[in-house]
Amino acid sequence: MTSAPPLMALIGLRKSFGKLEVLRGIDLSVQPGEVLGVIGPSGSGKSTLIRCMNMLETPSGGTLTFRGQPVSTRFRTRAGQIGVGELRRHVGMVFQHFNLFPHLTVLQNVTRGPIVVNKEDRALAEGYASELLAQVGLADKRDAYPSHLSGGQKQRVAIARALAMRPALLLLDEVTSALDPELVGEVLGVIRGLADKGMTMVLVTHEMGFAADVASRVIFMESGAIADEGSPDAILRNPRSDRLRAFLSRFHG
Amino acid sequence: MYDWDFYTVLLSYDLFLWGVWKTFQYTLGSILIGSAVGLLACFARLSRHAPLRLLARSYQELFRCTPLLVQILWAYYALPMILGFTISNSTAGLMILSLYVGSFYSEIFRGGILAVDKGQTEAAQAVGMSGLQVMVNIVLPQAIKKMLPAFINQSVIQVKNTSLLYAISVAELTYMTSMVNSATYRPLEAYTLTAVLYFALLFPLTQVADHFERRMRRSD
Repeated sequence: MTSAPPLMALIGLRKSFGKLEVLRGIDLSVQPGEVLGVIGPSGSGKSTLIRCMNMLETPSGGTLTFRGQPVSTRFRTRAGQIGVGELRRHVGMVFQHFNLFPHLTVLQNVTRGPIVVNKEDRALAEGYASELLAQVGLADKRDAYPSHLSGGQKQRVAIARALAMRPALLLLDEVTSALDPELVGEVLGVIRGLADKGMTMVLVTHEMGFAADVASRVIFMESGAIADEGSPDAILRNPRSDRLRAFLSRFHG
Repeated sequence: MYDWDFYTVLLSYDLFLWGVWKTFQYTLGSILIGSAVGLLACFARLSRHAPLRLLARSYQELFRCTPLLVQILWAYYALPMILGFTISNSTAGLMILSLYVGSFYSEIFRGGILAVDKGQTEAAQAVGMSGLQVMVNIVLPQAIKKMLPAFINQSVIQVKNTSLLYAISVAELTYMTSMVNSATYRPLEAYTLTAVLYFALLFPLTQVADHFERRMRRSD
């Protein structure tokens, strides 16, 4: 698939924790507008991979590029190398355990980044935050504290918080894994809405049905490497390898 | 039956008031300076640079593991022999009280910061905040809430610790009481009154502190 220049590219990306090699040279690119699903067994490196994409983990080797420019390990952008700070302004992340700021209201959770990082005017930031909260169905919760929300509501606030930075790429790290089953749907609904609007996303997930439904491309990771890659149809409905079939069979019961 | 006579003692009310005022000043001064020192030592302990960590650690252990009274006497009587010039009792007193409470504050601050979940830092970093922005906007507000009870507790102890300046004749409340006692020979009344004054100074403080702590727990 040759197409537009990638939004993000990983070239031979490696990550080790001590002697444990978690990523063994990943080559991957993310095209604007695509939704990339990342599946694989626990410990295969999915989370480490997505955390390298916004430098929450510093790669041990290889290169990460964003809009064609290499990303440095420094915070500030300097001499053709994008700094970690600038990268994160354009790459949002939603976490498995929400990580909402408990001392701030829902509205403050959403506006703090734009105000502090982008120096946005408070009134403008609050206006946009209100729009986003309405979009995720939580307009009435703007003055509540996170402790008064359900898991599904917390995760929808976390999505609004990431969107408030107007990211070019959104990383979602097992965002429904910590939710009660009956709350998963409301969060997946919001993500589906984003996909329909053309938001570029990388989605680490155990929701195979959802990945098949919303992803435009899926990679299957195993032991720190990309073991298979293709359309959701090819990967999830017609798996070629035995290991992928074995992995998927665990989800069909 | 003991013949209580508070009147004689109360004739020296101005000495007691002066003592209360001085005790308040030494407390406030040492809490302010101690907080600054404690914050510095706390960040030095959390620093990436090993020599800074060692320096902060040495300071903490030196002041936490020796008695405050010994530190006060040492700073006033022994330190000048090393320095070659004398230090006034008020300077030595304020300095030691500050360094002493700072060594405890630094551990309280550090504990509060480390108690904030790592996910909070990551979420703040993920929207592009710098290290300082993460600390000011996300970590410190939560850390302060966690450390507040311990901080107040240490500060209450600090009010009482100023009484040890009596040993180097700083004119705080305990020292002033001893002067009233020498003049009136009424130790029961004089020291009872002083105990009441310390209580009157501290009890409202603990109540105000409780109030603030409750208010800060609002978001839980």
